[in-house]
This record gives sequence, structure tokens and C-alpha cells, in this order.
Amino acid sequence: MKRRTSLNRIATFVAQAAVIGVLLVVWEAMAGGFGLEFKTLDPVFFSRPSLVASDLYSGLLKGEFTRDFLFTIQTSMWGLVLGIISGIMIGFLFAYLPWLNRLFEPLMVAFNSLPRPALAPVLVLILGLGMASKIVLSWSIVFFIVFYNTYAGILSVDPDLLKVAKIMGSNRFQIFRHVIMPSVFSWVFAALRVSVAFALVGAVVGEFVGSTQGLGYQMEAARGVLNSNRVYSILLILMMIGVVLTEISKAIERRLLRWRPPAPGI
Amino acid sequence: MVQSKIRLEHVSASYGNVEDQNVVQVLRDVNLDVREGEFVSIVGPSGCGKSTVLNLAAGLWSPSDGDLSGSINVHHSERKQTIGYVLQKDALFPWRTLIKNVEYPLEIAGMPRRQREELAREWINRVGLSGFEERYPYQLSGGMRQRANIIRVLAYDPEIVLMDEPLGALDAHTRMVLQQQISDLWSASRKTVVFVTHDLEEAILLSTRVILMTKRPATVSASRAIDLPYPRSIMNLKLTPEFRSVYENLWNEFCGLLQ
Ligand SMILES: Nc1ncnc2c1ncn2[C@@H]1O[C@H](COP(=O)(O)OP(=O)(O)O)[C@@H](O)[C@H]1O
Ligand SMILES: [Mg+2]
Repeated sequence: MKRRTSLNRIATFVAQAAVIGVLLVVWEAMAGGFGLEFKTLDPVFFSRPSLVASDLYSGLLKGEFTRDFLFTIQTSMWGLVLGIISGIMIGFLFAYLPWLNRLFEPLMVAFNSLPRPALAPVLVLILGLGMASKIVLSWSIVFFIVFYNTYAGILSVDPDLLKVAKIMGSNRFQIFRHVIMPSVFSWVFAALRVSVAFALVGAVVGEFVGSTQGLGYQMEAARGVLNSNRVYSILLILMMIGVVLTEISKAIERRLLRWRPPAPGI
Repeated sequence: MVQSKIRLEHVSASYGNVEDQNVVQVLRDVNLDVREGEFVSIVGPSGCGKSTVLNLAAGLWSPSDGDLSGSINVHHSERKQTIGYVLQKDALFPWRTLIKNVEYPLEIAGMPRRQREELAREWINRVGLSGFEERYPYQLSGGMRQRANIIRVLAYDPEIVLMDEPLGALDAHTRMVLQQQISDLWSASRKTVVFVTHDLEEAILLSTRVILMTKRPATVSASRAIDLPYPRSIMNLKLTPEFRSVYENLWNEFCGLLQ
């Protein structure tokens, strides 16, 4: 049984790699690779896997991505952390003070309905080309995700658990610490993966719109001079960042929410 | 004179408020007096208000629930944890392991870690859950969770124990094992217990007194002492002619009252 599953896993992995391989080969061939004359995809726009790989390789060797990579990571992480902290705090505040919630509800709904990238030009206008405008954009997405999850987490605390805790002599602080907090954190951590992904979206979009640094900025600059190899290289780096961050948040989620039944398979 | 532990006098209660025209009157003129050291079972049709009575005794009624009149007196010492309440649904903390759940009230009481761990283990062992200490509630069967739910309350040794259909959802075998355990624990400690069940047989097997509640709006319509000696062997007691005659008498009487 065990052997079959591990064999299965290897087979799956090989098949998955093959799909990617085939796509890359087709792309390479269609864009005039392998010495082919007939080009369906113009390499000026579509580049070619081999050209992208060599650009990525030489770029990495020369450290041409380092500064922008760090800039993007920093902005998105600041946006993420600030979004989580403020989302939790405001979530608690609004759940505990219903009148405050009622007062701000239309505003919150309006802002949350706003397609956030549309804020980018405004933020760049106000905060300039530096890191601040990107952090705020990234924060503005993460904040609402965490805020709504915190709020829902507090309202959906199991009333029976509250009863039990109360009967067992817990004071208000102990109820908060042992019943409400774990309940809220289970919601917030369940939304961590989405939050992380959107923190990155915020940072990159901000860099597109107006910046002097960052992977988004470098990509935009490369597009301006029709350096398609570089555009695709950066796309690849962003993809990698996304994958790594997602895996890290999955691991955190697994560790912190190990008391939850695993999601049922479909 | 044995002290009265829980006394409800002329208690009427209804859920909801008049404005949303959704008032459900649940209790009407309920009188109930539970004395120290009694094991009282409350039986009655489902939805009649048994859980409501326990909530009232536990002090869990809040004015926003609806209207309440009459007087409720619960006598206990100054200690913080004097009431134990085993809820109908097992309300284990999903983020705590079995042992950490049992330890929770002990932690609140300020018992040192070593001591509370030892005590929790003792109780876990007593109901046959050893080996499952580090499991989370979702990893336990319904019967195991319900056992944990019960021992979490008994472990902190409350003066008054309220149990709301604690064995309702269990299979016949587990149920009998737990009935025996509850009976043994009670005859050793002689705590004051109020035990809600919809099973008359279970009520007689465990209790010193059985109380019948009628349909909603409910009131207490009968209260009968069960004069069977302790300690009781649940399995054997069921087969004795004494038990059968008590059971038949109460059954006939209660059926008459519920008409
Ligand atoms: N929080 C509540 N709000 C409104 N109605 C309730 C509430 N709790 C219980 N009820 C109603 O009160 C009646 C008695 O409930 P309950 O005490 O739980 O009965 P039992 O435990 O005997 O089954 C039921 O009809 C139920 O629908
Ligand atoms: Mg009930």
C-alpha cells in the first residue's frame, strides 16, 4: 500500500513535469527555437524559454535583480504585517463596539468594493515613488481580508464554549485568552495564504504605476525598451516568490491549525 | 435537616421578546427543590424546557433571552467553581488536546501544572481514555468526546453537578458502561446531581428521585423517590423485580400525566 502511494506520487510528479516540459518545448519551437525558420510567435514579444533562461542566469550572476527583489519582498511583507495587525485590532474593536461598526459600515463596504489597483495612482500621487505608496496599497488589500475574518471569527465563537468557560470560573480576560483568541486566530490563519498572495499583488501593482525600484518597476522598464527576455525573467521570479510564500504560509497554517480536521477531499 | 441546594419557586420563563411577536413560553410556575446529596433526574418530552431549567440553575439566563419571573436560589460556598455543567452537546475546546481540555478548569482554579496533569490523567484513565491524551477532539469518537466532556466537569469536583442528557447520543454498550461509572462515582461522593434525560429507565437506574416535566409550557407534575439501595449494579438492577415494578408504576403514572 505504502509503496503504491509513493510510486503513484513519483508517477504524478513525472507527468506534471512532462506537461510543463511539453509546453516549454512548444513555446520554444513556435518562437523560432531549435533553428526553425518559421515563427508563429514573434520572439520580440514572446521571447523564448532558452533566451529567458540565459537572461535569468546572467542577470542572477550579475546581481541585476537583487536590489529590486529585496524592495518588492520588503514592501509586500510590510503590507502583510501591517495589514494583519491592523485588521485584527480593528476587527476586535468593531466586534466589541457595535455602534462603531454601524457608523463605519458604509465606508468599509465602499472601500472594500473598490478595485484596489485603482488606488495606486492616487497613492503614488500622495506618497511619492518610494516604498510607502506600495506598502499602503498592499496593506489596503490585506487589511480587509484580515478585518473581515477577525470580525467573523469573533461573531462565530461557539456560544457553548463561552458557557462552559464561564461556568468553570473563567474571568473576562481568561475567556478572551482561551476562547475568543483561538477562535479568531483560526479564522485569520485560514486566510493567511490569501493574504500573502494579495500582499504581493499590492506591491507589484504599486511598482507598475510609479516607482524607482522593485521587480514590477524593472519589468515595466524592460517592457519600455522591448526587452522581452527580461520581462519574462521577472515574471518567472515573481512566480517563484509566490510559490515559496504560499508554501511557507501553508506550513504555518498546518502547524498552527493542526487541531482542525483536515479538509474533506472532493 | 438537609440543606436545599437548588430551589426554584414559581418560576416562569419565556424566550424572545414581545416586540417581535415570537414569544415562546417554556416554563410555567415551576417549583423544584433539590437537596444536598440528592441525585435527581428530570424526565420529560423533548423541547419541554429541561435544558432551560438547568441553564437557570447554572445562572446562564440573561435578560436578553426573554422574560423570567419567580425566584431561583442556588446555595453554595464561596469557592469560584461550585457548579459543574455537562452540556448536551460536548463543548470541548477544539484547539486543546483531550488532556488539556480536562485540565482547563484546574488551570483556571490555579492548580500547579504537575498536579493538574496528574489529576487529569487519573480521570482519563478512570473512563478508559488512556492513550488518547494528546488527541484533539476531532480525532475522538462521539462516545470518547462525551466521556471527556463529563470528566472535565467531575475532575474539578464541583459541589453541584448538572448534566444535560450526557448519554443521549451514545451506543447502548458505552451508555451502560458510563451509567455504571456515574452511579459508582455518585455513591462514593454523594454530590448533589441534577440529571436530565428523556429515558425513564436511565432516570430510575441512577437516581434517588425522578421528576416529570410536562409538555410546553412545562411545569413539574410529579416527583417520586426511588427507594433502591446503593451501590447499584446497573446491569443487574435492570433485571430485578423491584426495578421492574418501580419502572411500571412510574411509566403508567407518567403516561397518565402526559395525556
Ligand atoms: N435561546 C432560545 N431562544 C428561543 N427559544 C428557545 C431557546 N432555547 C430553547 N428554546 C425553546 O424552548 C423550548 C425548550 O427548550 P429546551 O429547554 O432546550 O428543551 P429540552 O431540553 O427539554 O429539550 C424549545 O421549544 C426550544 O425551541
Ligand atoms: Mg435539552
